Amino acid sequence: MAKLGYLAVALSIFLVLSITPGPLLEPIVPKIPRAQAITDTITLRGFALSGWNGSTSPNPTITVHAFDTVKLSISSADTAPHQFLLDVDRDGSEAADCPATDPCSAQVPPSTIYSFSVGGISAGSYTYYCSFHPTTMLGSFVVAPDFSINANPSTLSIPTGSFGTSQLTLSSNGFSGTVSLSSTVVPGTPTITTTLKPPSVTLNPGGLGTSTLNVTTTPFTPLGTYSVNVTGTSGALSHSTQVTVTVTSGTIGGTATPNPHGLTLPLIGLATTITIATGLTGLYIRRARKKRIPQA
Amino acid sequence: MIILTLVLASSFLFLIRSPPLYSRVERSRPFKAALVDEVSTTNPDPYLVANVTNTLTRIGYTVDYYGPTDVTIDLFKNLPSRGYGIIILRNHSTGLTGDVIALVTSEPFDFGKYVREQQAGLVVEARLGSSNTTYFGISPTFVREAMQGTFPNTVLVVTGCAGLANSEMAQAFVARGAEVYVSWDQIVLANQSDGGAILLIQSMTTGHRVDDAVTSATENAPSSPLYSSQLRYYPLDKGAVVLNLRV
Repeated sequence: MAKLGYLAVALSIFLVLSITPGPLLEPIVPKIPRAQAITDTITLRGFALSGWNGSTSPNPTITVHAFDTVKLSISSADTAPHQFLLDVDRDGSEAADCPATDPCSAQVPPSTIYSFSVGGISAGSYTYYCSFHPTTMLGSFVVAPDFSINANPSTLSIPTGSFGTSQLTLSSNGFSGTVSLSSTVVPGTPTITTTLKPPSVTLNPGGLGTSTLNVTTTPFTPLGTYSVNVTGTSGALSHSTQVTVTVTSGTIGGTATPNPHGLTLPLIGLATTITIATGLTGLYIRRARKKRIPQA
Repeated sequence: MIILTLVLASSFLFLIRSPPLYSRVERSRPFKAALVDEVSTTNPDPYLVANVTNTLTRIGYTVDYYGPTDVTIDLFKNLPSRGYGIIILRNHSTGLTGDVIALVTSEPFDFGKYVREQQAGLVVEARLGSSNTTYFGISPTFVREAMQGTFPNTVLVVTGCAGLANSEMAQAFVARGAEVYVSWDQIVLANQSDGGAILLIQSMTTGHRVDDAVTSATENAPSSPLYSSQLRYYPLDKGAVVLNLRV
């Protein structure tokens, strides 16, 4: 009987532990109230009962900037199946929207790394779910307003002493404000100058702006490849794009062919002149002979 | 009548081959400069154009710029009589591979045009690289025989390849009145050539002699990893020539 009692206690402890939130089992699971997705990988560990990373009240809020690429490291901490789903169309955790409308990861376990771009998602607040446990595993996913900057073309081939231009396009995703532009040349050389016209661009939410990058070389610019880094800054926001510049030079020689078609007009003219002259001379001699005959 | 025929034939041959009769007139070098820029067809260098123009303007020269559409046979024909004290010929040149020496114009070649000049070797068909388009080029004979007027002691800077690989073209220009002819002795890249031209003009417009300016420009022009071309001048006894400065 006592044995049965010990067994019951052991079983109870096992059951309690199996449904206990993560922090009791793994007290070092990180909390991520705000995450910047540009460089950091966001770790999400799934707990069916206690939410993502074991924090149901609330689940972690993930904040990214528009145009970021989000990299998630997803695993199941309770061996139950989980799947990350971002509810972009705001209709709940409908798995049918995955992945066409709502970005979604592969099912875990096994653990997975899932990357997706929020470039096409309007700035705003969304909900992310576990498609298997949408009532306990859901949190806020905030796409903060931001801008992007792109160069076209992104490569320029410029002869020495000349110049090239690239159009910079700035796009706003919920962002409103003035973006100041600056450029640097790497490796640095005083023989390459850059200008940006205009040097700042004002963007409205969802709007576009342009500026023209002009890169000028001199005959003294060492031949080679350079990077022109253009940075747009507005307050704490800063984004860059790169234009690769190849400085070239060519020889200034050619090849020549004299009289390529063998034209001989002057020779023909000379021959004609001689023929006419010979003919005239012949006529003169014949006349002279005729005149002499009667005299004889 | 036989004598008459011989005289006519001799005159005909004389007219075909003999150089025109002109007299070399000693006069001061005018404060007029020309930048003839055929090379901008393939290697535009607005930096050089602006730099040379500003440099010459600063010392009192007026500068005429001839862009690609202006660099024709006619321009060269009349160039001596336009009264330029300094002329920069930024033209492609030929004669690097044993072919005929010529300065390339930007006038497309047409075998039905300048027929007599083609036959007499005054103009040639010039090709740049592997391009299908060919252009008229002028030979030293053209300078001697087809140009009109004389250069007024002009300082001539020929920035194309190998303008002084031999002195044939230089001699022709000097015979036509140019005082000194400066050019490269081998193949040259556009950046080296343009850098050299800028340095040469800068040096000469600050009172340096041709020989000093040529040495300095050669030493400080961008170097080429492929060619070791150097600026030279002709005739060699004209190293002491200086530009007259108005300012």
